[in-house]
Amino acid sequence: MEQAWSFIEQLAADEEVIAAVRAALKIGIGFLVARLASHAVSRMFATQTTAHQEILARRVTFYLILGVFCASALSELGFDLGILLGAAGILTVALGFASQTSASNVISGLFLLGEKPFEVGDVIRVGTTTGEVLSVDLLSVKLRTFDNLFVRLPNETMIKSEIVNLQRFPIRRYDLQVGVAYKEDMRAVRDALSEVAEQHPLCLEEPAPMVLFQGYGESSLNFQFSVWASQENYMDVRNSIPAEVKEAFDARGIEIPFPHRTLVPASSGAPFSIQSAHDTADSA
Amino acid sequence: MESMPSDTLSPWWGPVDLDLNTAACWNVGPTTLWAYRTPQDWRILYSSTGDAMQHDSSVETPLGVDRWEEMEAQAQADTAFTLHRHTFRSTPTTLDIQPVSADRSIVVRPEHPLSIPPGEEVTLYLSLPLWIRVVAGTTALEEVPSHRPSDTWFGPSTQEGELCYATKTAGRLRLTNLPLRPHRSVTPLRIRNDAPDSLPLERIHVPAPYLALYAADGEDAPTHLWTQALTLTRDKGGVITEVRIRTGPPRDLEDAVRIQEPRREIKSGLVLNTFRAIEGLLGTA
Repeated sequence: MEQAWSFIEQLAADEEVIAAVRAALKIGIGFLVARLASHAVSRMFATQTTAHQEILARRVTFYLILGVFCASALSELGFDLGILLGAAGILTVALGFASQTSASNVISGLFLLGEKPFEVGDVIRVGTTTGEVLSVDLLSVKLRTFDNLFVRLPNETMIKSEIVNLQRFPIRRYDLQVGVAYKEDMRAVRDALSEVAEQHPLCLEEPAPMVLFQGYGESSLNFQFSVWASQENYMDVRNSIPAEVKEAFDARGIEIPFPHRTLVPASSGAPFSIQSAHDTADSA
Repeated sequence: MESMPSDTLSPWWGPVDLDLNTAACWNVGPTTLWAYRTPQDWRILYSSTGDAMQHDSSVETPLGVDRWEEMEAQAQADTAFTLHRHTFRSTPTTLDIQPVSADRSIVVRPEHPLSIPPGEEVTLYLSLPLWIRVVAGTTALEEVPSHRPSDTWFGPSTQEGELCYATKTAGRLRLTNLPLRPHRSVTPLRIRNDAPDSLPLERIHVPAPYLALYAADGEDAPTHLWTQALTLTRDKGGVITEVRIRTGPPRDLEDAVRIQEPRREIKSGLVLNTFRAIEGLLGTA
């Protein structure tokens, strides 16, 4: 027991140990201060900025304060920061080779933050994944898809991929492809579609709705019906317009055809012989 | 309780006292609104015919519980009706029905192209749809448009601008020609064109949420509603330099009574900014 006590006394008298304890304390306090400050910054920014900017401000505050305290703790331990920074350069190269993917993700993350193709809360489409951005982190972007799945996309992938931001602009166009039978009057189709847009309160009057003739299809005259809606009403418009177009066509007797196929045997060019079920029953 | 169509209650707005388990019905243009009072909740039911040409207004009160139940059953079967219940510890007796301006700006397009030659000054009377606000005690329960106008976008591009409501105007220049409809308000807009070229008016952006409402009695007409007047001046350089919301009632109706405050307070420069977009759209910038 006495031995242990004398060992502790020796340690307490040792300046290096005292410095180490001080450094540890500094890091601990730094962590606490950084945490409190980042929360305060987050609260301060919450009402004035977007979620994206708030997260960015919180992270910068946290790492900056923690960094200052860590530097102070290192100098407490007797490290010369100048030399340390020099060594860090060499270390970075070594680490870079060792962890290429992570480093690439970090750098890509910085570019993503700088370029800001989307913000936290935006709905984006990357490849086949569509979802709401939950966070833009050091290594990856986290999405929540509409069927409530969590998707982690590495920053490097994000930089290389085509990203579609579905909510960047306040209004959006919905394009409905619709075909009508060849016998129909194209002007009547145009009028019917224009009336649908006019009577739908969520379709914007300006930019004006458009009816574009897309060409003579296999079994139908193809049209594109384009209407504009505000972001928040887009889904309503997308769901209601097809039903209303169908109703308008039915009311005017405009036919939406299904594909017609003519089958001809390749060998003889003669038509198929057809036997009805009635004939088959008679022969039996 | 017998239902009593009360034409004397015209105009349609104003407070109505209802006993427990009685209802009232307001027909305001294309919209019909019902309110029913129980000890614990106010039930508000409304629907719109969507027919903008329906201009009548009437108030029926009090209506018995049987009429209400009939309506409630109809509402459950028909998705065109919306029913909301607002619960209270004890329901206030009075329901105040108030007219309010639209909650977004309104873009008015003349039915036919309209231009103002150089040096001319005209006053256009614009008819704008009103919203119906239902207030119980001091709490606003609902806000229902008397006629839901179509949405539109007002701005220089699809990236910048403002979501507005769209309506059309016949561009009436004389007050006597103006049909006074109880579910719409009239906004006098005076435009002066000092520029050397004509000012084509393709669309006019009316900042409805910033306009107060005034009630005025016509000589032979029922009480109708006006908003504050707007003045727009285009200077010699072709730039719209001055846009003003007239304080007080419109010039034609000095004794009109202010019955509703604007939804939003005007910030300095805001009105000018909202109209600045017109310059771009009209090609006068």
